[in-house]
Amino acid sequence: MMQGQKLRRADFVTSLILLGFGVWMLLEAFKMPMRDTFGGVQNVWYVSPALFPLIVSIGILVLATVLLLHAIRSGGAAALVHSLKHLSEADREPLIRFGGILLGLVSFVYLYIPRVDFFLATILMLFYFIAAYYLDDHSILKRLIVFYCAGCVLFIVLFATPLAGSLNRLFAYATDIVALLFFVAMVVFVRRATRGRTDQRARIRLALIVTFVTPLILIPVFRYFLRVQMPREGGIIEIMHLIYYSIR
Amino acid sequence: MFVLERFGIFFSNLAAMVFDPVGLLLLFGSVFLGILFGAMPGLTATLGVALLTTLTYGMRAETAMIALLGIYVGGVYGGSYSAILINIPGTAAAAATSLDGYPLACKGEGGRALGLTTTASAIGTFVGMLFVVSISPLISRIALQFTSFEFFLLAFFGIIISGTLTSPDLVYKGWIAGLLGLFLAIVGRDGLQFYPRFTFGMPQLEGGLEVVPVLIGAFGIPQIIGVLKDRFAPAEAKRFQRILPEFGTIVRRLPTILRSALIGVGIGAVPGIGEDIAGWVSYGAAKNASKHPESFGTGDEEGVIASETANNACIGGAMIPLLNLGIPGSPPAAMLLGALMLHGVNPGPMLRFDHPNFILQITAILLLASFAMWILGMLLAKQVVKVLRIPPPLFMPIIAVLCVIGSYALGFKIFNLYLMIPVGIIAYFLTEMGYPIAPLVIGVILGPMADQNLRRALMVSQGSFMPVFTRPVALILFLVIVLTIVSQFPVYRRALAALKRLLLRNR
Amino acid sequence: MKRIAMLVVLVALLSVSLVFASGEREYPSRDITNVLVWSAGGGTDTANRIVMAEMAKTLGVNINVVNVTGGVGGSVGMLEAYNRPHDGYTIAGLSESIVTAGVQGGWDKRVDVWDYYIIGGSPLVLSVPANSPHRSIEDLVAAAKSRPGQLRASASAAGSIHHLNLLAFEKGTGTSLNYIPYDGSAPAQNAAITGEVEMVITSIAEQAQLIRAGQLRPLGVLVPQAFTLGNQTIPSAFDSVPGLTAHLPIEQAIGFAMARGVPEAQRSKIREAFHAAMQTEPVKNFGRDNFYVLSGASGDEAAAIFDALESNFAWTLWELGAARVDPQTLGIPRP
Repeated sequence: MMQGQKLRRADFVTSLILLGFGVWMLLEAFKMPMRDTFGGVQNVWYVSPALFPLIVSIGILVLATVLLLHAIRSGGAAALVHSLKHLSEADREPLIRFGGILLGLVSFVYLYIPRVDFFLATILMLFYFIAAYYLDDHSILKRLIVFYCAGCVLFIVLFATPLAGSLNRLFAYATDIVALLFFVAMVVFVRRATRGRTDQRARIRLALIVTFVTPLILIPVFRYFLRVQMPREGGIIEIMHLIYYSIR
Repeated sequence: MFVLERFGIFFSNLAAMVFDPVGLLLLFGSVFLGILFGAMPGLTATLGVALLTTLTYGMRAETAMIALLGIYVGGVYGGSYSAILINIPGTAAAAATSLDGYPLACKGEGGRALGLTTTASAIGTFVGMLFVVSISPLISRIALQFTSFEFFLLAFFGIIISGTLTSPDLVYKGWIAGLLGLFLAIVGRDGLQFYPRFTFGMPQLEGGLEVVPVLIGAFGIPQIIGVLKDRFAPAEAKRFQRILPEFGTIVRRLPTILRSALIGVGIGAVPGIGEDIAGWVSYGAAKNASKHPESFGTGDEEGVIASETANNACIGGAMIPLLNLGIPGSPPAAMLLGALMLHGVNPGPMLRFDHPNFILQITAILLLASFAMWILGMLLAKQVVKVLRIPPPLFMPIIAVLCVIGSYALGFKIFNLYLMIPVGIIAYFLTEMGYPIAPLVIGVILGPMADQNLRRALMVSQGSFMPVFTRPVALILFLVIVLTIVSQFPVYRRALAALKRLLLRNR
Repeated sequence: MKRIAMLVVLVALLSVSLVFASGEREYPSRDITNVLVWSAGGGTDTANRIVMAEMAKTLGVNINVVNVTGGVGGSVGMLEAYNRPHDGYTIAGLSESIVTAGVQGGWDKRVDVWDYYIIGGSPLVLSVPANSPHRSIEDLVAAAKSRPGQLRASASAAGSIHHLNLLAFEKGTGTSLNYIPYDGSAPAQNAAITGEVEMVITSIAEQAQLIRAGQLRPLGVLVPQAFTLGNQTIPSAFDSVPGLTAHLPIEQAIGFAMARGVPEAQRSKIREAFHAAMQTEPVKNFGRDNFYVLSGASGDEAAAIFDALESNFAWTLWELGAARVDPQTLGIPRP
């Protein structure tokens, strides 16, 4: 948790955001039907769907005002002005670490899960996270973020254009193979970055084991025991199906 | 006489089950599976019961009920594992447990906390069962006193609790988080007139937000970000720690356990709401009754006991309206209702005549399930704590995968994942700025109930609030709410102290 | 080197799988998924689970029921089921209320893209609390006429089949009721028992226990034939109010569907299995114990039923102002 002036500064900003949010919510609530009959239900003010949003938005506005006053009185506004003047002095390392986590989570959920075989999406995300944070080396972290980001851009280009579609028509599971190649490239990249450091080598081996074992246990359990259809079943899960239905 | 006779049949049922090896194996297996379901973020008791309904289709009704109740009991209890050890409640029912359970684990007492919750859960299940077997017709009659006004007041009481939870910074930050939760609850088609609110024309939002992705986003993602970013070790395990709680501790906490169990049974018996809410209400009540409420939220064993006893006692409570009225008292109980119908057992007021011994069989299963849960819990807790020895940067990405697959498994909606990430990021910033995150989750759970029932109640009374004062249950709830609010102000405590002094002097 | 070797192996495996995948195996060769659009434990869910379990015996593979709820009129689950490959391995478990998804903006086509298999439904019944002064439909209608818009009537959510029956009842009897919507049938019935509302419309399946226990007094079923429940006979509401025949019955149709895009060869296999399942003892017992009228309709017969439901629901909602999309733009004919 933040402390002292930094917290009050954040309070100042959030209270403004909350005020804006409350006003927007209030305006939206007033657009809802207040008294005319809707959906076959007789309507009076107390039946209106706007009743609850109105109560909640007024609550938010009141509390946001209290927070704003407190933040100004305790010097939050002044701290904000001060910090805006001295922007560059902020410590960049936590920021990069935070950005790296967001990159991993966001690309996993929004980019890979809907489009790439779930097994591949999972090993990409797991290896990236473990290599970036378990090796605990800031220079590797920075370079890996750039590398992973480049890979994500490649996939965005692939999927945003008709390229992925035509590739997959040409050769089934083509995008899955690209994802696999990206994974291999990432492993090679991390190994080269840690060349000559035996302690890191052992960690990479462990990272690879965790990366593969986790989805190899989870996916079959969810797919064949809990009967959960994976978000995207591409090449690898198709192989799992083959094995499962032939041994069953 | 009547009660004695019932107990007689009950014990003969019990004996029959204890000496049936297949049944016992099934019971332990399903309780174990339930614990796994509960402990995994996203997999809930409801999903577990649904899964086993299909798998037990071919069995006799009684045998199937062993498996279904086993997974129900295990699932509600299992949520406490992840709540205590990694601060990510596996189910909404265990969210209140994490408030004090996780701080306990941070102090290195994770094993002890698990031992306490296991015992508390077992006692809770047991008390719930006692009510089913003894006075369930009476309770179901009281449950019928719940009309829209009572439902609203109950939901309102739950929301009020969010203000009493400890906030690490300014007190009203808890309220802000609660209101944000209520906003999330408004999103979707409103339950009364079907008017779309804050859906932005997105069809996926029309059904409203589901609790599980919000819960996992709000608790899980801040934890993942925090651990990876700031390199802090979440909780540690002492090498040698006692899992089995001291007998003295349990005796000392007996008033809390009994109060929580009663709350759990009561909430479970009210149709339509269940474990999710029971934990919170009981936690709030324990805090209000405590002599040192300020220790709640910092690792007070009483908080852990309160929520875990209540959510397991809720199971027995939920069975009461299910068996006596055919109305499920909680979401997993709704699934149980379907399972019973599959087996040709139609629960309701006629069950006592159609299948005279069925209710007693159910209670016997509940009793055995609580024993099985306790034994398994004690064996598992020691092993589970070892998870904390895995280096966090290796462990947290796996948790992330579990969170993702867990919230996806609930209804196969990728949209739930799209929702989970922004909720999680906002929750992370809120946590950083000293907002407690629990009120947000309470808001999401209780918002729809408060909204719909307030408006429906006013619709029935044609805009009058008088029923609050003329209906007995409503009046009691109203007084409890007023008391809870008043007790928040220092004036109340001072007045109470002054009153005490006055009385002492007069004597 | 090790990595490259692994890659080669994986690529080889992928190509092998392609060969296998292209080779036709007799349908069904793997598990079938039933995407059920309503929540677990409800009537549609229970009926589907039991029929699926019986069909699985004929088909020789498992049929897994998964509940994908949300949206309007089950639209999220329907989309999920429809967007999967039309290879015969996906079934949508549904009921009559899905026909509202189109006009409520959750489904951009008509519902005739589905091939339906109807398990059956339970007749709807109008009941009053046990201590109610109304002893017959006539009593109730007279009371409703003396206080227009005041008599409190409960049914599940707006746009549900219960609501539509309530509306049709109002039209047929020339009354105006105070409709109070609830989250489902169980809360609606609960409200009737507690006296919060004065009448309730839900299905006999849902009310059976309460009627037999004397907690609700049935006044009439909303179908042409009287219904026998245990030792009491519930008269048809049509007998006392002949005007109802113009607007009713609107009957439940619980069942499942398969996209019409699925090859006929596979659909006919499912149809065979379905008809076989409907004849089994467990399904018949289920129907009898739970007061369902089993149907077994499929093909054109089932399509006609859903067509009629669609135009009825869609236009009623549109006239109520509760629809977002004009049924005309979807090409839904007027009833």
